[in-house]
Amino acid sequence: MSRMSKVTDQVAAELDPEPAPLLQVEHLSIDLPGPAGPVRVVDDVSFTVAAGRTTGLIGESGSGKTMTASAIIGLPPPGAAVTGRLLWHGDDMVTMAEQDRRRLRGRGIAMIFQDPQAALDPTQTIGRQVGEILRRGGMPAKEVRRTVIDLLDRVGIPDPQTRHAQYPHQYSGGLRQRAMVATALAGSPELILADEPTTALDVTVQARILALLRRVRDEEDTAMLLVSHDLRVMAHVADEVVVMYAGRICEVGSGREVLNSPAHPYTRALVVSVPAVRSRTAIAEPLPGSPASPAERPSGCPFHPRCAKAQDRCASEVPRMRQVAAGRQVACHFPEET
Amino acid sequence: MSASPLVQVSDLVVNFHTRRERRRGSAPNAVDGVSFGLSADETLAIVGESGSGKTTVARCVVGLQAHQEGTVMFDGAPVGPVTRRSPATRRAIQMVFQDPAASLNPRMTVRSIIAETWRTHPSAAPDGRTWDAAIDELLADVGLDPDVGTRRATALSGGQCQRVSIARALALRPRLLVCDEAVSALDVSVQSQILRLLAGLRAARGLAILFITHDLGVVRQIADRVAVMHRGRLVETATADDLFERPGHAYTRKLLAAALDLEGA
Ligand SMILES: Nc1ncnc2c1ncn2[C@@H]1O[C@H](COP(=O)(O)OP(=O)(O)OP(=O)(O)O)[C@@H](O)[C@H]1O
Ligand SMILES: Nc1ncnc2c1ncn2[C@@H]1O[C@H](COP(=O)(O)OP(=O)(O)OP(=O)(O)O)[C@@H](O)[C@H]1O
Ligand code: SF4
Ligand SMILES: [Mg+2]
Ligand SMILES: [Mg+2]
Repeated sequence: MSRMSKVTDQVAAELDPEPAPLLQVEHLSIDLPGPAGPVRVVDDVSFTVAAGRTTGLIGESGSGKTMTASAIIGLPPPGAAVTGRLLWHGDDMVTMAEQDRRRLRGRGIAMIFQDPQAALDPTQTIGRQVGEILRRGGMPAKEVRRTVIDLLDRVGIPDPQTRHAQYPHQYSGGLRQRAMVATALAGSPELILADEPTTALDVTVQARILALLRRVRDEEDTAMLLVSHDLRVMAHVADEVVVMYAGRICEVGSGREVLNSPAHPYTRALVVSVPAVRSRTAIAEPLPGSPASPAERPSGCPFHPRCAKAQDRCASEVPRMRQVAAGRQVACHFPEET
Repeated sequence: MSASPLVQVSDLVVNFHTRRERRRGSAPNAVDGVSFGLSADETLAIVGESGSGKTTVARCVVGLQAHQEGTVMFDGAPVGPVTRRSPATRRAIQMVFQDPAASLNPRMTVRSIIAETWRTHPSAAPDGRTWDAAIDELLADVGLDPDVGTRRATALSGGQCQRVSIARALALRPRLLVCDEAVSALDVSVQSQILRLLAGLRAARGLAILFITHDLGVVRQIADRVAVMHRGRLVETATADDLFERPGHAYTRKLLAAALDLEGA
């Protein structure tokens, strides 16, 4: 009997092997041209995003979050050298034919850009831009219009009947941001790369957008890679969190655990800097020294010149990612107890 | 509030009506009778609904947006559109824009973007020092490496653009700084560095700050008074402590209720 079930298990496993995660980022590095030769702005970054999960990407300004997202969507800046593997359902996107890649964009993976003002075309109406992907997919004009108005309504743009015919300059910052969210949702993608999607939104609208994204996640199994400096938002929506510093990952774990009991000193510095709303807090002490420049990344642990816990070893030896608890990895020689 | 505030905005009305809307006379105003004062040495935060008119009010104060009714007074005198302001007034009121990447010239390096402000306003140019050293210092103040100076805005991250925009505004040593979501693209550690910088300038030079933000935690840390906007109107103005402890307007209560805290997530 036990032997029997073992055999059936084995057969089942062969028939239905563990599906490859939606997205696997493996040893991603990005070099950008600089005046003194190429600069490595993303260095050996690996993480996975599973279907229907929200992975949060946080980290210092300039640490490579947007570059990582733009490599995934296949739109790195001109002159960028991207190495490593980006697996989409197990297929390498870096070596994929350009035609397949283009098909993936919008339908498979959609991106909400950090700067909606720069990402929207000032000469086209919002409605046209939101409906672009539907039109390209061959949807009749009338239906596109109806769908677009419905999308604008879902992201909380008031009076979508009038608003869809307006141009980006007629929108406020927060309205433009919501238009970007609508554009990303239009193609019903499997993965949404959302780069700071709620910075220009008041907390009531923010709650509405987050609820919408959660609903899309639950109903359509859409995964999300969410880049945000708002750790309060992160704590509420991210299943997993990846923390970056100076182009490298310094900590990975479940959203709740990383933000409640950070193990890496940099994550800890971030968490204690979040101003509270329900009580008045003093402005946090900023980190000493200046942010690491990717052009002159410090030796050893890139955080060592600013780390209160640094020892001699930190300046000479690069800390490797290692498991400190189940599902929890940290790149630090002396992580905090978690 | 002191007897004569540095800035006095009275009964400001702005609309963007189309001709048809004007004929029908039905569409609401984007800004509908807004009044507030701001003294030197004071920080007034404007919070409120997205699309409620905060940016439009800010643009009126710096003279980039025409208004249909009301007045904007600076230093006791009415000020019009930026093109008709004296160089001294133009220099005295600086703004950090909500979309930093779009507000920086993509063809110029960061160094020339800052130097340009001094060419326009020679009175603010650093004397007795080289401009390069002064630029390095400004960049360091906002947490940027000198090597950022040689790059163009298109080769910077979102938060780096935002900090360049802050450095550009501070380069002119303004008396009033209008910040439209000026720290929203920054990680919280860099954000506290900028907030400390602003608090320091306020203490040292009496810098007045009009601070538009959606981050109520930041408001609580830096604002003396808070004005809440809803559908073009200021529905409530109170000291920061009063607003958080005893919100008066229903919309303010709704905002505070929706605010997340890291604790209790
Ligand atoms: N086109 C470019 N050429 C050279 N360097 C660039 C270019 N674009 C960005 N960089 C640099 O690459 C690094 C990573 O940038 P990225 O935009 O990914 O940062 P980020 O983590 O998204 O930061 P933020 O939170 O401020 O948006 C930064 O140091 C930035 O200055
Ligand atoms: N140039 C314009 N033409 C037409 N309508 C405009 C224009 N500029 C702003 N509006 C409209 O005026 C209203 C107020 O916009 P404003 O940008 O001041 O809002 P806001 O409070 O700054 O919002 P957010 O928090 O989203 O940035 C919005 O409904 C906006 O769509
Ligand atoms: S490795 Fe050393 S310097 Fe780096 S974070 Fe850990 S303790 Fe600090
Ligand atoms: Mg970015
Ligand atoms: Mg605005």
